[in-house]
Amino acid sequence: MSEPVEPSAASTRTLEIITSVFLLLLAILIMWDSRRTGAGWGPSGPESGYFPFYIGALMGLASAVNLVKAWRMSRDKSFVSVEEIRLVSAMFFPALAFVFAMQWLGIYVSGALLIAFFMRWQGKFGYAKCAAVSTGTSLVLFAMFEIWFKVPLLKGPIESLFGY
Amino acid sequence: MDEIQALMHGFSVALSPINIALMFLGILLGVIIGVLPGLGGANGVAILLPLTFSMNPTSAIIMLSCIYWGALFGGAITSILFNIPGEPWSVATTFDGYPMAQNGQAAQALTAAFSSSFFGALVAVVMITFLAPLVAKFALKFGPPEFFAVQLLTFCSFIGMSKEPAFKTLAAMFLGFALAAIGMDNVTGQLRLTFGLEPLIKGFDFLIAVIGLFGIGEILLTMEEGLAFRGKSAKLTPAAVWETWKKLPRYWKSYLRSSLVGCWMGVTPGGATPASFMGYGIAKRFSPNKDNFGKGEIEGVLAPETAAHAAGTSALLPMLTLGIPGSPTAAVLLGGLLVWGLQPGPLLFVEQKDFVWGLIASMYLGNIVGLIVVLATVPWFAAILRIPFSIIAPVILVICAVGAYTVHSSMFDVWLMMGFGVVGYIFKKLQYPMAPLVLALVLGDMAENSFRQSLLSSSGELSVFFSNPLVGTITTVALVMLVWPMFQSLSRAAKK
Repeated sequence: MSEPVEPSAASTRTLEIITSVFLLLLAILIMWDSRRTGAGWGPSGPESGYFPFYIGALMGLASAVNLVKAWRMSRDKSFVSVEEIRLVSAMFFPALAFVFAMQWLGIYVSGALLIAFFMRWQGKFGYAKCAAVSTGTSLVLFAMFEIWFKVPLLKGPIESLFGY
Repeated sequence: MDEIQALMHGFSVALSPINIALMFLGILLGVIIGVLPGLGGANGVAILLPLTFSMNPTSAIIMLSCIYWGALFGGAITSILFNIPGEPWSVATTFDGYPMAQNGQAAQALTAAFSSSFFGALVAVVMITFLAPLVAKFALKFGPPEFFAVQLLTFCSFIGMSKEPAFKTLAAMFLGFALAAIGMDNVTGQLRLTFGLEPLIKGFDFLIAVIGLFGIGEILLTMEEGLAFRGKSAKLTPAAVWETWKKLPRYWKSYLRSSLVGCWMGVTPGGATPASFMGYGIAKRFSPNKDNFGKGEIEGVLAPETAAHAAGTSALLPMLTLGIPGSPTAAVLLGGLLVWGLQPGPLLFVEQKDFVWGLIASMYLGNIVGLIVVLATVPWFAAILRIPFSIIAPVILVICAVGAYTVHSSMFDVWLMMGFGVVGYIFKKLQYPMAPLVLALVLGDMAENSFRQSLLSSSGELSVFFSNPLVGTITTVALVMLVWPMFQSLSRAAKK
């Protein structure tokens, strides 16, 4: 694979350090909370925090080693380029908006909106195609979950208009 | 022979019209899942699992395991035609499969891949048929220390065998254990690691983690590559299939080696992915056409496919007999057993004969159905891949959200899925392995319980894990697996 020269948004070293520090902090948090619930030997055997305490300890140890290794890495290797982060965001932020909208519009309507929006924006499809694919997907899902398998999903005002 | 009789009984269970229909449905869904980027065996089964909550367990596991076989078959299609491995275990298939398609031998490559998959799975199922009852009978004598030792072995062998850096495997694994510990402690009823957050009380559901890590994470990664699919179209004529079949027996040595590697890697939780690479590597070393490997050698297609399928199938052996899954997908199936109210482990063979033997019989049938379905429908599935990613990506995202929501009908889970998606994206790029994370999340509670019970019986003495020859041997092997890679890397450093 040839590596195109693109401006890097973040180096792998930076991400390695962030990840290992995050896991290290998490490990400390786990150990701290396990001490609270009791990490020793109680009247009925090992206390609640006994197992998690050592899990936290070992996780911390492994993360510390990873942190040291990450620190000694070269700074040259790119984790993600500017162009790549743009592409990933183009998926991630609409997805966040979709999950947010789900709470009011229900899964089917917000799902159709996400598909239509993404097809139009990234795929440059015509409006008719966008509408057909997005409503089609939602209708198939609706038939499968609500009617066939009888698993109710999150529904919003539009479904209630039709009596669901 | 008891096994044959039990198996025949299993066939009578599996051969009901509804179960056969579910087999076809499962295989079709599985191949679609295997073909589409962002959906794979593990998260495909996770998404569809809630649909089976109301089914009877035998039908449910037949459908879900068929989805798994379908996904194993489907991975090969994209590898050969598009040079895009639909599944991690079909990466090795691209090495020679794609060049073969480029040379106009797509039909041969596909036929070889499917037939080899079938063969690998068959060897593994035969092994399961005769070995599983023995293992289960043996495991009936296990007490908590033995179970913990076996679980320890599972996790240690992950570290010993994984391609990823050992300390990253460790960190990912313990993250899984920590997530499993969140929520109510089932012994004392105390709340652990919830920090006063109400949705955390019932704990993390590993299905959400699987959907997020594998599904959302994969979509983000595919997005990043800005994929444009450009592939060969596929036509499979009966004549081409027949011609290829006549050639295949010639490679019986490769088949044998790959099947052995696959079964071994599946039972020990190496999994299908390393098995496929090992199968490829071994075939290359022993082949007289060594130099043709990578340029479109048929043996380079059949060896990894046989190994991957043998591994993927035999991963169900420890799941059924010991309650320890050999792969993330097997872990999801194990989660299904718990949901349906079945306790995985050796007692399953005593108490749920219909279920166990129905499942084993359905493995034979499912793979036959699978072979027929994929050979007949390859052109359609290849067509799915011509759908632009700007349609596929949001559709898969919606399906993932639906899957996450159905698990507990909870909005919190959907947010959690997005969170796991980001973690999955970063972990994948930084080579933190996800399989041990998922397995730890699934097995965490069980491992903790057997650990606590062991310690209770010995009043806190760790020597209980060496208290008899059996448990002592398993523990020792586990520790060797754990220390071996560290010893290796140290000795390598010392040589420099």
